[in-house]
Amino acid sequence: MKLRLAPGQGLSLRAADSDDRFDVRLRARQRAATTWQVFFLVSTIVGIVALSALLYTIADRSFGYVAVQNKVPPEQLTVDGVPVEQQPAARLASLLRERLSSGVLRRLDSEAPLEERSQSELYQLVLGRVIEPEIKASWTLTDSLIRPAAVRAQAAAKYPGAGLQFRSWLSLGFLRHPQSGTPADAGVRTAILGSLWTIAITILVAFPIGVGAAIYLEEYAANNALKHAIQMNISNLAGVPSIIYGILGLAIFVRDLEPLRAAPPSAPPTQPPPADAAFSRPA
Amino acid sequence: MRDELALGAPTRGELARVIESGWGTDLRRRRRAGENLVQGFLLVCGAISILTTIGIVYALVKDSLPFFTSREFSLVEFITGTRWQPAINEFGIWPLVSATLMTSAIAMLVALSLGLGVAIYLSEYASARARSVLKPVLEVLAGVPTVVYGYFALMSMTPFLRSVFGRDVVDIYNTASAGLVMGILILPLVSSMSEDAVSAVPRSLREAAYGLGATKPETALKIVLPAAMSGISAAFIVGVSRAVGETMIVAIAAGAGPNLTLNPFKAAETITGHIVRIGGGDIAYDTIDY
Repeated sequence: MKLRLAPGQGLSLRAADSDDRFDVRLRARQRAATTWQVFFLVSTIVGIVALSALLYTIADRSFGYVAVQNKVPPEQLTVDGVPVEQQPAARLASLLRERLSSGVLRRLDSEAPLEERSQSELYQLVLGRVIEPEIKASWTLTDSLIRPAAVRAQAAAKYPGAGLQFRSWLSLGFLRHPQSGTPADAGVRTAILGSLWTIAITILVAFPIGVGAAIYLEEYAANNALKHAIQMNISNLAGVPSIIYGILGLAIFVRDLEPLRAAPPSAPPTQPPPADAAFSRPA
Repeated sequence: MRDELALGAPTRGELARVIESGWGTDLRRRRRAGENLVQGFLLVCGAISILTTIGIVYALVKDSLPFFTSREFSLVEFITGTRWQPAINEFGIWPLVSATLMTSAIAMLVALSLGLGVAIYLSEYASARARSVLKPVLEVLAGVPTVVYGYFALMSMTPFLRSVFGRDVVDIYNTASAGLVMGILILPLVSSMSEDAVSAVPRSLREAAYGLGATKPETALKIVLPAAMSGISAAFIVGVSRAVGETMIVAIAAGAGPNLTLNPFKAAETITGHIVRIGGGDIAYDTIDY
């Protein structure tokens, strides 16, 4: 008798009629097996899909068409067929003098006289104060790539005076400009510097103390209650939500160490508590 | 024989003298001066963990003790009250707790089911090459900053939910999208800890099950999973603690106002989101609101 076993099919040592029952159950079990396998695969795929969705969202909003409306169209400033960004510095300076108000001109001149500035600097001034581009609307990358005609129609309908440009929001300017109220000029420079400061101080504090504690626990500590207390505390602290650390920082480093701080405190330390009914004790 | 002994081995007299003076004293006095200093410094490094725990307890108790001992506070109302409005002295904690529980429940539902699925797939089904690719990719999910997840929840998950369930069913700020994105955040945590637990189950158990005719999922679910249960429950507990303490995702995506509701599509504020809003705002330090 030749026995051929399929995967998942075991060897039954019982009588023949229960072999049939076993076979019927076997098919159901194999169906269930396939379903579960699909579920396990789908779980993994959901994780990958989530990550891709995250990256796709970021990329989608970083590039796309923008509708730009200029207060004064640059074509108006063309002289003898020379567009404004290529005009010489002297021409740009006289353009600024005739267009800007006297107060602004006085302020600019007090920083550095217009005639002594470079051409690129003067062009930036012209761009910022005369042409004044304003971004009216932006579209995502998918919209810009897949339905450009619809985007154009939308822009023409809602912002008739605006031109359509393809803009990459991630640019070198994005990294170099500080925060700004106008989205076109805004950058992450201050945020990046702040993050770098925080990371540097964190590493300077955490690394020596962490390695020191590890060496102590491994090499020096006797197997007593103190060692167990330290190890238990370290495990506990790893699980504390970060907002509790924020409260700790606020209470100890900001409030209690206030005399050591360089900056003036946000509220005068000698201010008596406000007359709040909840805190009043019976006189 | 006397010559060999004279070279290095102590005589009986020398031995007796060392024993009488106490074994270790000579060695201890010969320690270098800096060694005590180094050991002291390293001990301080280790003790900083204890100091941090004490600091956390002190900071929390110092600021909340006036609240808990003030006249306006009643423990019964705190635990059973359903409105949190400190301005008019209503201190029911239930709106905040219910929102926290709801987001954590949604997150754990997502993270536990999908995390176990990923763990079983990676340890039972995937080839070594697939595992070497998929594991790091899923670990990337754990490395994304939670602020980015918060904005992802607000910018992508909420519009998606609104398109699926309808714009009038789902608010702009809702706990469902925060819970789902939190589940995605915790998924790699649960899956990596579960996978370690599942891989640690000895092969002999699995082979015995296959030998008796079990299918792969049956082995995984009925033999391996119960055997790995201690590791998986550890993963579950770590995931729950992460979900309850998660701040930024709910602060950004779940809403800014305590709201007692069981509807996950409405805005509600969790305990952590409330702390962020109050602590970062302009509530003065000594008021009862703080």
